[in-house]
Amino acid sequence: MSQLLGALSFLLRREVRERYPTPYASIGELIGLVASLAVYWYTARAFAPGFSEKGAGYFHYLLIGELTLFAPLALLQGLPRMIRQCAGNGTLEAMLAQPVSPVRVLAISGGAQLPLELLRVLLTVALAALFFGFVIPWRAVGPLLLLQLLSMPVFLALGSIAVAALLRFGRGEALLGYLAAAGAILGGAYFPTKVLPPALQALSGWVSPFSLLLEGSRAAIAGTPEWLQSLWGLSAWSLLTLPLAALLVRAAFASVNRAGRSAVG
Amino acid sequence: MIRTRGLGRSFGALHVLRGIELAIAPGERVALLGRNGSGKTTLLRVLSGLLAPTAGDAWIEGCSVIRAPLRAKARLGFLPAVEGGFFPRFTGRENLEFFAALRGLAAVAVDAALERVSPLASLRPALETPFHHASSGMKQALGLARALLGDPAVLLLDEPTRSLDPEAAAAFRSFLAAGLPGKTILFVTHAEEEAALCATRTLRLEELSQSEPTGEAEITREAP
Repeated sequence: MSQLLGALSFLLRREVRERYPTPYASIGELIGLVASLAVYWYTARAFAPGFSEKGAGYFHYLLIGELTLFAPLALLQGLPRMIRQCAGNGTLEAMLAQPVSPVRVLAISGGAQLPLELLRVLLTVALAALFFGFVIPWRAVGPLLLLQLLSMPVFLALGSIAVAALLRFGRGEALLGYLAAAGAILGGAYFPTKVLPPALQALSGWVSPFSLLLEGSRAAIAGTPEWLQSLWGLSAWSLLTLPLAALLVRAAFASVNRAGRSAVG
Repeated sequence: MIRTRGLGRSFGALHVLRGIELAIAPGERVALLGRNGSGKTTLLRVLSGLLAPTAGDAWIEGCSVIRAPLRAKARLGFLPAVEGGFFPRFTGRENLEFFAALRGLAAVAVDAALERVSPLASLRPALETPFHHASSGMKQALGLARALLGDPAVLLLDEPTRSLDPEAAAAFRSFLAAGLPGKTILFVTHAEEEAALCATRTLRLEELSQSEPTGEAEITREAP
């Protein structure tokens, strides 16, 4: 277990060095966060002063949407990005030469994406509270953490499926970016899905992990019990996507083994 | 020990390995010679578990690379011909600690591997140098240290002196000849004198095939 944590900690440090090669990069991210919050704040004040959804004004609505999707999107997009980098510098093959299952390699790589995102969530909440009066009720913290926790296997599985596609076909990251953006929009990250045309509202149901997580998080903050339904829904998605991801990842690595190289490296 | 039976590897119509029969006893140091493109690197990649054979099977310390690949990998260390395979922004020691952790080994395994490779002068600076700033000699020493993590019985070394300067190459050869007692070693080289100096036995890949790999595709590759 301690060895596993050691590998995880190394990959986390790798993420830090890749994202923040100099102190200026972290300062830049901090400024970027404050600028985003300011844009949300003034947009909400200028264009949606009377907006209210589950008791939240538009600034709160937007920010909850953003915060909720930080970690899921890191798993969905960050994991394939990391695997591409590792394939490029030969470390993926070096890892595959070790007596360790490829699924374990992906699980560790996925886990390494999360602590930085958690830090980003906490920092954003702190900045929003400090400058814009953003508040999350204490009673919502537990349900929010539970929802995030149960959504992790789903998005790790989806990210792993994306990795499988990347290893087999050498491409797909751009498509993944479009799908992630569509999922966030249709799931209601930036506006309530009820304003969408009926056809798109129906489509919104198909991006369930996003919708479930976003709707559940908003319900938890509003103090209504619908977040429990989201919890069950996310658990069902986990049961569906994890075995599928394991199957596809094994098949992709078997294909890499047959070919002697991945399509990406 | 290393053993293969009817081992073959094709890439489409190109038969790189065909019917390879190989048996290397524990503690032997075997040099593998062969012309360019004869399949030496392919053979090492198959033995290391990175490339699936298309025919036959291979066993590392009795573990099949097809049926028990993780157990076979746990018993071998592989030094590939390419210099990469380490995280560029991290020092040699950090990289080795990561690969040890990935193998489920405690940090003490890194020290043990470093102790074995300590006669190589390029190792010490490599430990504190970010990998992307390391010289070829440092990278080679690190690669060998990684291959020794967990003290595997079998070592597969693909042209270990290829990118080294004469002095570093000589040091590496001396180390290979005397510094790894008890290990079963299969190394690829183009230099007959290196084979004579370091190996207890020399093999030519062409002689390992039950039937000579003289398919049309092989001839095409030699004269593109």
